[in-house]
Amino acid sequence: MKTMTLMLLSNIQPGATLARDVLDASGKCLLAAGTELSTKTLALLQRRGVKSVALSQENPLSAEQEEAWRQTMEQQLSWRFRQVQDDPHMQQLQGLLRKYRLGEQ
Amino acid sequence: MASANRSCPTQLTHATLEKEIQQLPALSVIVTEFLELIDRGDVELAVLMQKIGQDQALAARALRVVNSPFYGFSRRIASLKDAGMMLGVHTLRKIVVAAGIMGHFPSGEDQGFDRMTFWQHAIGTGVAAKVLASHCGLDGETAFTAGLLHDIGKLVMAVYFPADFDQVLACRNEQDCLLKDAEQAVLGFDHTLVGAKVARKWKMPKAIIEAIRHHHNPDSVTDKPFAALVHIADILCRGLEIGYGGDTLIPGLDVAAMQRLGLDWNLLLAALPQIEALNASANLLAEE
Repeated sequence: MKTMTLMLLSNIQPGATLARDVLDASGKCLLAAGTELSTKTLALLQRRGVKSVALSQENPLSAEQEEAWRQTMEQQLSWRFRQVQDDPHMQQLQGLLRKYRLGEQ
Repeated sequence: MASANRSCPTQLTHATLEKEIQQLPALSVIVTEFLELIDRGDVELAVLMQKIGQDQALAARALRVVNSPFYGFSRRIASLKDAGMMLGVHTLRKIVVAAGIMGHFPSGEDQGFDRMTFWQHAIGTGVAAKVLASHCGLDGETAFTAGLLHDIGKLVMAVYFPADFDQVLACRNEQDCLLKDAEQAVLGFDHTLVGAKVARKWKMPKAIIEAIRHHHNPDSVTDKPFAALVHIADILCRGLEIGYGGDTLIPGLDVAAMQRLGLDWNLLLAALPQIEALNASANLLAEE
């Protein structure tokens, strides 16, 4: 599994890969997920006022680290939803957030 | 800015609330005069610019909003005059009000209530409301401002009525309940009422006052789409853990409100990365 990290534009070197689409305010895609950033595209993002973007990390976590991350994420979600666990709609919302966090879109 | 903490806290009650709110400081004189000029309707852009130029911090903050990715300009906008010409005075009005309110409550910590994380949640909710608005054909600027200001009543209570708010926070901790439920238990009303009254005092547009007032109960006002929009935006931001509006709990989602807006679970899932991406780019809090 690829992991994702949010980085400030000023710290990004050309060659990094976008983990997610970069959108403008109208929802239009400026650069698509998977794009390898160049000096030119980094300058474009800077001009558009983008401060940080999500980058793919090719060096994934170890299986143990990934499991630990997943457990923490699940615990945090359960904590937030602790008083609405019986509401089917809230179960659906929790499932949606979980799916998003696990990248299962 | 006027002194933030009252020297002699009063027990807020339903009966005294209106009077207390009316006694709160106005937004800065410049913001107030700017709004009066705009609302007269026949004023030249140059005059408006001259007015806002009298408060450089306000002008800088408003310009930062203009240059955030919300407006998607391909180049940096150097002056508010250019922004006014490109966005129109009505959008500029919302930007200046938002900038004026954020400037009215600069970063700081009140006991148990961190203003920086409060604004992060507020901006995140504004961003989420704007993203959702694009999926259901509502005005994105109004959505953003409504989201930005939806919890302003909490901040007003934390800053101007700290003794009352301390009791609310203690109740929330003791009961492990939502802040709004603790407010109801302690005060008999909640931040949506305080926020709506303050927003009215500060002459916010009606749609924004309604969103502030009804973002926790959009089912009671089926003809107020921005209340429903902010209701969902707020919940998504809590789920995404964007900032902290005073709750670690998530309130129940009103699915009927979601359906009335023409939204469904798939659209919400699609909106999540858009919200995170746009929110990561929003840099309205950094001081220049």
